Order: sequence, then C-alpha cells, then structure tokens
Amino acid sequence: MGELRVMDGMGDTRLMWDPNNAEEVSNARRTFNDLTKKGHIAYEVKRKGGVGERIRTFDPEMSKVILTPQLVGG
Amino acid sequence: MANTYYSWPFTSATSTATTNRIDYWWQQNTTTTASNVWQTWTSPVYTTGNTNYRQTTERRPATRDTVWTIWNGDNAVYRTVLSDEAAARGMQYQVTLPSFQPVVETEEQRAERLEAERIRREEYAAKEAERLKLKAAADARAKELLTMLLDEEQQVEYERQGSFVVKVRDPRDQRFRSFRILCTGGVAGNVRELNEEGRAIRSGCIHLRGPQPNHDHFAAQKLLLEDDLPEFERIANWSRMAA
Repeated sequence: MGELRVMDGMGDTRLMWDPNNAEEVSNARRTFNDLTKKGHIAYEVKRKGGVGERIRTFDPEMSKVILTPQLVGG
Repeated sequence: MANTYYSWPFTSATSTATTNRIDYWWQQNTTTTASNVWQTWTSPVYTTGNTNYRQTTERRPATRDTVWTIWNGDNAVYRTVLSDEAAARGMQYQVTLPSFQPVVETEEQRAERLEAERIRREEYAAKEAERLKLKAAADARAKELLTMLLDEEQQVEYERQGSFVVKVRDPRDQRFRSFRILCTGGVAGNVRELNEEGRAIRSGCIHLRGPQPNHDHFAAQKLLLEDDLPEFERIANWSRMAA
C-alpha cells in the first residue's frame, strides 16, 4: 500500500492506495499533481528515520510520500 | 430639515504607510501618516492639491494616542447626513456622532437577556471544546509524523531535550554542517546552525505557509534541510548569535 500524507491545518490528511487498484492510483496521482502544482513539496520517505527524497512525479510503487506546503522565511 | 442618510464610507482606503479619509465636512480625501496624523487632525486648515480647506464641523474626540486608530477605522459607528443646509452651502457630508442611551429593561426582559447570554456562553464553550479537541488530535498527528522522520539518535535527543540535530553535507563544498531544530517553543527562529563545538552561531527563521501544527513545521524544516541545504539557506531569514 502506498500512502500520501498531506500536511494541513489538521495535522495531516492521509490518502492510501493499492498499486494494483487503478482507481485508487488515479485518485492519489491526481491529488499529488494538484498539490505539487499549487507549490507543495513532495518527499518520498523509504524507511523510518530515513532522509526524505524530493520527488516531482508520482510513482504508484512508492510506499510513503509526504507533501508539505511551501516554506517561507519568517 | 430633510435629511438623507448614507452608509459610511463613500470611499476609503488604508495602507500601513498612508491612509485616506473622507473629511467629515468636505468630500475630500486627506492623506496623512502615523507620524503626522495628530498635526493633520488638529490643524484648522489643510491643503489638498492647490486648495485649502477649513475644518468647520465637529470632530470625534481624539488624543495623540488614539488619533491614528480613529483615523484608520471604526467607520461603522458613523453615519453621514446630507442636509439641506449643507447642500445649499455646497457641502457634501456632515457627520453626526451616534448617541448612546442607557437601556432600561423590565425584569422579564432582563431574564430573557440573561438566558440568551447563558445559551450563547454554552454554545461558545462547546465550540471551543471541539476546537481544542481537533487541535489536540492535529498536534498528535503532526508529532507522530515528525518522530517517524527521526533516526534513533535524533529520537533520543528529541525525547530528552525537545530538539534534535540534523547533519547535512553542503553540496557546494562537500563539508558537513549541523543544525539544531528546537521543538519546544514556537517556529520563529527555531533552527540553529552549530559550529564545530556544537554552539549555535546563527538562527534561521523559516516556516510553512499557512496555519499548521508546530510539529509539521519542524518536520518540513528537517525535510528541506536534508534535501536542499542551499534552498533552505536561501529561504530562511538568518540572525547571527554570539558563539
């Protein structure tokens, strides 16, 4: 199962998909594309404690993806 | 005398630097700044373009401390009156200040009012309790996400002292650099770059756009630091610290 975790005001919203389920993959891909177009940054995290790797395209074989809003200087 | 009432304002504009206000008597925009507003307010004559205007109507009482606030807003309490006299004199607006009268209520009315206030208090308390419950859940999710991103050493540090160190290789010169992300306070300036002795030499202020639980900010700071140090340094605002 793949998992998108989208940071938002509620902590994060999770979206899971089965790579063998075309509808779930399509839904996850659409969410990924919509948010990255809006400026969210996507990181794939391959293991607990691992470094996130920035990704720009959706791959249904990914296991865990974190989408963060843009960072700005304070 | 027939009076026609208009809602305030006919035109208005504000900014942090200057503000426009419709003069109470003349339909003119007057521009002033926070540092000059008292002089403008009290001056009997002011100039707009090439024309001088004399202030001829009563003004809302103001002091040096309150004048800027009054100048900028609180328009809702005013109504403007176009009177025959004003029209005849070519004037556009005249302001009447609202008059407030003490409310006299019967025992029954008082009881109704108190009951309505009690209901509103209860509704507010229920909404606030729900908001706090959602916030606590959001905070818990954000904290869980952050801890998922920490390695064992960072996890121990985080649990022990509420912060953790991120070591990254600078792609520009290949040397390792260390940053401590403080997680116990807010998100303002909570990223500290450390020197070789582990002392903070500067603080960086960088945070997510929009309202988020604090731990989401910390997680996003870690992710960007590790992924793209030059970009992180470019976005953050840095302040030097005594080493």
